[in-house]
Amino acid sequence: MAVVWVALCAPTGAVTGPLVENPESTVRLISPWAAAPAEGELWLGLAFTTAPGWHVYWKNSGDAGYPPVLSFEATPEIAAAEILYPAPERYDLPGGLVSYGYEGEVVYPVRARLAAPGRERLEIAADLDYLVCEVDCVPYSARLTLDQPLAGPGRPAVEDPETAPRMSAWRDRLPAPPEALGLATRAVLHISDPERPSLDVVVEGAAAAGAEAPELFLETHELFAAGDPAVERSAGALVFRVPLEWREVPKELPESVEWAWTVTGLAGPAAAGGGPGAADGGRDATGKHPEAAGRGGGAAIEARRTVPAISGAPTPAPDRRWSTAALVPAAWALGAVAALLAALGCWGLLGPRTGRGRQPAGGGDRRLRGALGFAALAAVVGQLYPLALALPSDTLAAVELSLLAVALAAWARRAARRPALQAAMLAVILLAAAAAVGIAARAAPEPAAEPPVASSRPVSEPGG
Amino acid sequence: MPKNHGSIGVLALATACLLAGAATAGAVSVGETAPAFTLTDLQGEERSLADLQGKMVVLEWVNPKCPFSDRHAREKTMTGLAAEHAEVVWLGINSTNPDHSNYLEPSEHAEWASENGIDYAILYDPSGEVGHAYGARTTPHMFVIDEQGKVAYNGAIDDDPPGTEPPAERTNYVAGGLDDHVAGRTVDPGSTKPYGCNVKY
Repeated sequence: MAVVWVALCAPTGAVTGPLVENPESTVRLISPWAAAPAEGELWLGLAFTTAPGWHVYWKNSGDAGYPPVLSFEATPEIAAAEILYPAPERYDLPGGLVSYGYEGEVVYPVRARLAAPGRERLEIAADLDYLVCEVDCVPYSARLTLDQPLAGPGRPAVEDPETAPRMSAWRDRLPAPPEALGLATRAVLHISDPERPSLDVVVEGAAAAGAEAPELFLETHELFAAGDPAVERSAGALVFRVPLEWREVPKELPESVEWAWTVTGLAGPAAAGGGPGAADGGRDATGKHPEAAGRGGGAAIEARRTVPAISGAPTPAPDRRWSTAALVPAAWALGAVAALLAALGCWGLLGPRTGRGRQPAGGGDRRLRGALGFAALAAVVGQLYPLALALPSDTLAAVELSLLAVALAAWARRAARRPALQAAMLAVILLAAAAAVGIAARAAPEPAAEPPVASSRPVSEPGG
Repeated sequence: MPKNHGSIGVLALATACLLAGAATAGAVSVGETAPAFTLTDLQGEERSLADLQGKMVVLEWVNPKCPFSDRHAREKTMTGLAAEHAEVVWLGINSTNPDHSNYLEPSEHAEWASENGIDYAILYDPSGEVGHAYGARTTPHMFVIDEQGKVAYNGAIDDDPPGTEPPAERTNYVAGGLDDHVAGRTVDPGSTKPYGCNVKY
């Protein structure tokens, strides 16, 4: 009889608010409860659907936009409302700009405290401001409402069979604490060159090793603007290297900063959702609700850490393959390439000649020269990658200009008919190659045995 | 002429590397020297930052087709502030790519400026070079340059991206910065995260 009574008394139909529509998006409030507990924690969902190509924003919107702003001021029974953010996606914009957010369907879980004792239902009203963008952006403001039945004495709390699984799926997309996936994460701020700070974020564990397309999303920081992360893999860890720019030239270098980040695309099981809909709802074999599966790819973690600042040499990556220690052998390798090119040049001057006096005779000689030339090219290409990671961009540009001069001089030497001009181009080749090696070697910092921790010290005032 | 695949390969690779490096956008920090520029205004006259040495300058990245730029124009946010601080040179900069749907011919931009009572110069940066030099990300994105040519503020116009607060209740960072500077105080905050549409490079 109790079951029949509950079945007769339980509200029917999904608990969702009226849909607010515009050409670019729709939005409404949803609730996982057919009858919600009248007091305590309350979960709601801010459910968007955007038109194809349009997106709404993550808590750090990136270079443009802003995340949704939701206020329950019109509903005094609701307090401490907080929007939570599922794992985001990245949108590259023209001009090297980037945004972070969501396209298509997204439900932002909203966690709040409800105090409505003795009430049978609550008319929830919330004011929303949000921005939806494609090529253009359109800001909207809306009043969202939701008629929420409440549980009470003799009225048990009841999950909504339609919206509870949907809410659970989107709560599953909330980044989990690293420990939940058996991961550890930390970061180091490099300020050895105060004009070129950088951040290394490390994620260690099996789920990191198995990540197929990991991405790092940093929260906005008051001291730094972040560039695009580059990810490396080593010894089962992911290392994200992020170039930074000071928002303001610092008067003193910090010893540490607080920073939060999200990493997506990790391997491993979905985070436990908990709450309404957690134990059922048509989950697939991986434990994820079909609505959440296949979106964004993989699991996600979120962490907030105190990040120490290192003012010595940059800390090398765990396996040291692309560390600054590679700069010295890279410089030597460039020097070897330069010597090889010089040898080729001398061979061209002193080797056997055709009737025109310019080329060695025989297909075997040409093949050998071609092979040596290819080896030289491969050596140059191979060294540019570690140099690009370790050198500032202007130094790398100088190295690249020197290599371009080598190539131009080699081409000019081949085209030259006069021996004097050929000799001059050979000299240019040798000088430019030496310049490339010298610039790279001089820019390489001395590796420190134990990177010292920064202490607050005055930074010299920038020049005029 | 015999082919030299090795030289051609190195030449092509080095050129590609240089071009890739050139695409990296820069940005200017508060305290750094403001990048120099010479741009053309809506009337076709050239304007140089160098000519404004010794004056305070406010740069406003603008796009009339961006709802944020348009809202601030209708609300007189920028024009009101420019009128209050007659000693400051206010410059709008439009870095919209001519191939973008938001691009306006200077005459169209001048018409929009006239409708909104904007009487300060608007400069065109169609290549986006100046925008990239400053790291301009949004419209609007504000820069305040002091009399010594140093960037004193970089960021948002105010703290109300949706524009739902009454103007009097918003914190206008540029107004505060100008007041700080006039009073001999360090501009605080010196930088904020700008909001708006992305600059249409």
